[in-house]
Amino acid sequence: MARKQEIKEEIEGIAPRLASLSGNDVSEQVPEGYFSELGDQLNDRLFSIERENDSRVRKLWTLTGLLAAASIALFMLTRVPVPDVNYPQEPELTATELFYMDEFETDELEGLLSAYEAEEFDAESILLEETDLEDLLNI
Amino acid sequence: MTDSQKDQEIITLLGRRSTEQAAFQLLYSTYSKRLYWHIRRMVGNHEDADDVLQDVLVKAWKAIKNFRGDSKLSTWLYRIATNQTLTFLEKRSKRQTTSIDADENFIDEQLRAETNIDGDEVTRKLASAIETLPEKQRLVFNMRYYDELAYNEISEIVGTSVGGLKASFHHAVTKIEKFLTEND
Repeated sequence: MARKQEIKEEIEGIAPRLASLSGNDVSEQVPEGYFSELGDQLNDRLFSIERENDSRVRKLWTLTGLLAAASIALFMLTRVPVPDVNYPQEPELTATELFYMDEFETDELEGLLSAYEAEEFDAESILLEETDLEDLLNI
Repeated sequence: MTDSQKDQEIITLLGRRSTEQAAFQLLYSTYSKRLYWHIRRMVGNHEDADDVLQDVLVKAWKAIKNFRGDSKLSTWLYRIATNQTLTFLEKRSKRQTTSIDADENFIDEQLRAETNIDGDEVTRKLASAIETLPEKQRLVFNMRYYDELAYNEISEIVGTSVGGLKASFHHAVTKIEKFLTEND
């Protein structure tokens, strides 16, 4: 209301005839029921689009899920079985072999000591087997 | 409930998917008539106003989630409506492959045909006077005189300074007064 008065005062000084007319005297016609019909029409249009989009998204997700499941199933069915590979294992060393090794790891040494205790270790026979007497005599 | 309270309610309703439709209904009931008349005064007939209004409301609804509340919701809607109307007038003018004068004649004819003349000769004269105005002055005059918008709101809508708008409105009012006096 204050705005209306403000505008009227603004006009009065320069256009008294215009100021005497009532500003919102709209005499153009609008078809009967236009605004309620347009409201319903837009409501249907906008929200059916959204519902349609929701349904599309749901369908897309379902389709994606099905595709993923099918891909997994296909992979399981067609995959080539991987043969069991028996990698050669390093032979276990006896206490004797370990005795002649140049280098020992601490844990190997520990193993050796326990193995040495377990085995009957005949140092004399080892010396005799492993030593070339001819070589010794030549020396 | 004031406009700003309604705007706040619309924004709140927009926050939840389940109340979006209620938000649209409130927006429609608050602004559809104002926007319709804003558009119709520019395009001059119901059919074109109906087309433009539908486009405006659909566009506004699609973009409303990006509405940041920097301006009033009404200002934002008026801006969309004004841009859409000016685009429409430009296209219509090109379609008619004639000058703006011819477009104004077309609006004038439409107004003469549609205006309820019974006992309202003055209103018809006023409509004719408004049609003689250049597009921008007509836009400013309508927003100030009929929509009763403040200059700062019009400034936000059309992107012109308040000083420039006051000058446009002054020129428009002077021309209309002259027309009314001469055609008395």
